[in-house]
Amino acid sequence: MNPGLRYLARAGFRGVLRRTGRRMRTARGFLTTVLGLLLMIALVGSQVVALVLDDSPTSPGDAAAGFTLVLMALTGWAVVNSEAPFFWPAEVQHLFAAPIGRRELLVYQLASRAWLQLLSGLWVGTIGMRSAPRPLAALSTAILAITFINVAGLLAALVKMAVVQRAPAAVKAIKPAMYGAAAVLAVLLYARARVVGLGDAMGEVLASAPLRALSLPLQPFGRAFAAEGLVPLVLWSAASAGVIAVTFGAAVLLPVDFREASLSLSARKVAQWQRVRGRGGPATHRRIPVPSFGFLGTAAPLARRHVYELGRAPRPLLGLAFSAGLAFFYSIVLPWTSDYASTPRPLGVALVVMVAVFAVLGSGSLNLDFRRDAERIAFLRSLPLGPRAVAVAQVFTPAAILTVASLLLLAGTALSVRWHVRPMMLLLAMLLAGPISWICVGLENWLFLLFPTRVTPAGTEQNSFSGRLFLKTLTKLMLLFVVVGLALLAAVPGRMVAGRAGGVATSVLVVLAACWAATSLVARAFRSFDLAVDNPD
Amino acid sequence: MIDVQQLRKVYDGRVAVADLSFQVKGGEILGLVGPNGAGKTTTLRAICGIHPPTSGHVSIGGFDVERQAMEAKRRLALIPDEPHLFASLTVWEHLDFTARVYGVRDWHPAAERLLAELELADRRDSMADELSRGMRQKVAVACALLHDPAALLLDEPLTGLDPRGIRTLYDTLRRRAAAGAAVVLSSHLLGQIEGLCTSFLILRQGQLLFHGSRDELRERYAGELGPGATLEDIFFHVTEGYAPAAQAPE
Repeated sequence: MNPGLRYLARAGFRGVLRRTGRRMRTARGFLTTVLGLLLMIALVGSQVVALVLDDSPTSPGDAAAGFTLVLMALTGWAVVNSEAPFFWPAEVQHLFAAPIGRRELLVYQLASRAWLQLLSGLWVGTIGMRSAPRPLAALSTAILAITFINVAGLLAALVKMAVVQRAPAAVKAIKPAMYGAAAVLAVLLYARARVVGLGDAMGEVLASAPLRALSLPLQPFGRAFAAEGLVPLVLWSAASAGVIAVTFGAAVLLPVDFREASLSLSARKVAQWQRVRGRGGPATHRRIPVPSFGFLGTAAPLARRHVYELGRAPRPLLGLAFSAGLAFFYSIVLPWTSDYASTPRPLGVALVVMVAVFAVLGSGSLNLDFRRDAERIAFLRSLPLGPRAVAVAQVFTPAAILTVASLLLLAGTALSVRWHVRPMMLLLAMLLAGPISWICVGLENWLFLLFPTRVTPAGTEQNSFSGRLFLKTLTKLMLLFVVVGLALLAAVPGRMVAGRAGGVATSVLVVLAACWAATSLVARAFRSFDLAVDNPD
Repeated sequence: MIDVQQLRKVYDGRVAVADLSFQVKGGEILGLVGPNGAGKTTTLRAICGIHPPTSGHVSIGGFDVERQAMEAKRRLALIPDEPHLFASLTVWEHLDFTARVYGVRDWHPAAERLLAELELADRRDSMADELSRGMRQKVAVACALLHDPAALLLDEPLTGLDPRGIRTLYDTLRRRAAAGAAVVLSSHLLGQIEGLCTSFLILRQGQLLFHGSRDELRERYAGELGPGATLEDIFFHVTEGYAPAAQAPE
């Protein structure tokens, strides 16, 4: 490989460490990095504890079949959606016009992303540890599997590029055909699982002739994941590594010049990410009736601007609908399916949980706030508004939309169970929807202002780290849990002094205080946001 | 030094560059001008081998960009319009990386000189994401010049540079050309490049409208626009009037 490429891969990794070190030199950076580490330790620890306490280990057969099916689905997704080898614009600029061969570029691409795949593999392996007979097997196989998915996507992209010049219609037909096949397979799997159980159904699917042929290269990964001893783990891991090497070798040997397609893909992806971040989808010129929000005082114009933006480019509402679906599934559907034998009880606490889960997820997807204004922080600073007014303006609109969506979700849920709910809990969930939404949006913005991420053409490493979203969600959940805990604690003396009404009143006061605190945190983070460091242009 | 013969580039049925032929000799600074979508960037990317031509040939120093890509690329450098740097590398590490890619030996003195020339000496240990756009552009220029390319391609290089930076870049380009490098510079800032370029190539929708020296350009349009016509006057006349291709005599 070209010595410059070796240097770049090494220096890039060193640079990430240096940036982390630089971030940790400030009190804010140190605290947030330590918090992130603690959360990761908590996650790994909880997995280890669960592993020790778990007395019903997964059978190797089920583990192998399940892992192979999941790997097949993810590889299929990567193969269908692969377009061209992806290079960041900085790589395009410095490498494509340089005397570097096509094959060297592919080797560099694999090598320079290896540490990221290692981290992602460890992350996924930690989460999947309980599904494997041996934790070590889960970790090592997850790393191998993620590498294979990337390499298979690379090979598929190059094959498609080779074919597209001769039969472009065939390549265009691949995607719908694959999605159709996946949908049919999922329906068949579901139907069979209802008869024989999920494990056996997956085994039968894998044993069918077409799937057996398709899953052949993936079998070593499944066997490695399900290995019970060290020797089979090493042998199957070696076989998996062999599959990766053969796949990558085939990609490298294909005589396809991908540079033009990679350049186009790179520019398109960065533009897409910036669009998602900046505008949230294509806008229309329709007239939007927006209330004056006069009660917000000087913050009103900023808050109204977000409503205009959402009205003209409503794509973020799709993300919100998806979050609502997830919240409904986790809070209502899942507990019912695990308890399907008994008579359904009226929904109570689950309604409050659903509102909380929806606020946590929805505040992450509805970016009508500082995240959308990442490139306009200097403009916001220049306005004749105090930090608190700006914070209120930025939090108000998404929190209000989340609240309305929560109320609709509650109504929809109650209707779907024919009002088989506990009225007081429904009322409580409706009352809490606003404050919980406000707190979650506030925390989301506070975390963003502390750890800002921008889509830059250089490719920010923090964007690439798949655990960021998870850590952020976990942090929000934990902080929300603390607020709920404090509210419950406060209810005790309130109830002792003034009965049930007193308990409710003190709890409400604590929740409102948390809203105020969240706004203060955002205002403080906005005031201390360092434009020179976090937004250098 | 740069020889473009019948270069044609078609994207999705749209002709971006139509049978373009021109040469840039060592010591020449060619101004590549044209309205948006004229095919300037495509031409520059085809010259440096990023866009394979649909038909035609490009060679650098006698080496075909397609068939002898490595030899050709060792002799050229491209400075794109947007300075994309590696966020996790310092200025000095960018130069180190470039030296390794192009196999430049004993590059430290040249790198020190370039940093001083481009007023980057005190930012050598800054990481790319700490630099302003103008600074990043200067780093891109320094990287491009480190291996002393025989053909230098610049796509809108003036964007983001302060007046001092522009003057420094001009001086650098003149010195490189005087030392025998062939320079191709695309820009919309016609007034800025008028005094720098020794020849011009005007494109519109991939078609060649004019190619010749600065004197030939003035001479060609003196009759229609008067002897005092600026490059800007000629540009509007040629591109908006869409005059037929006028190749100045060799």
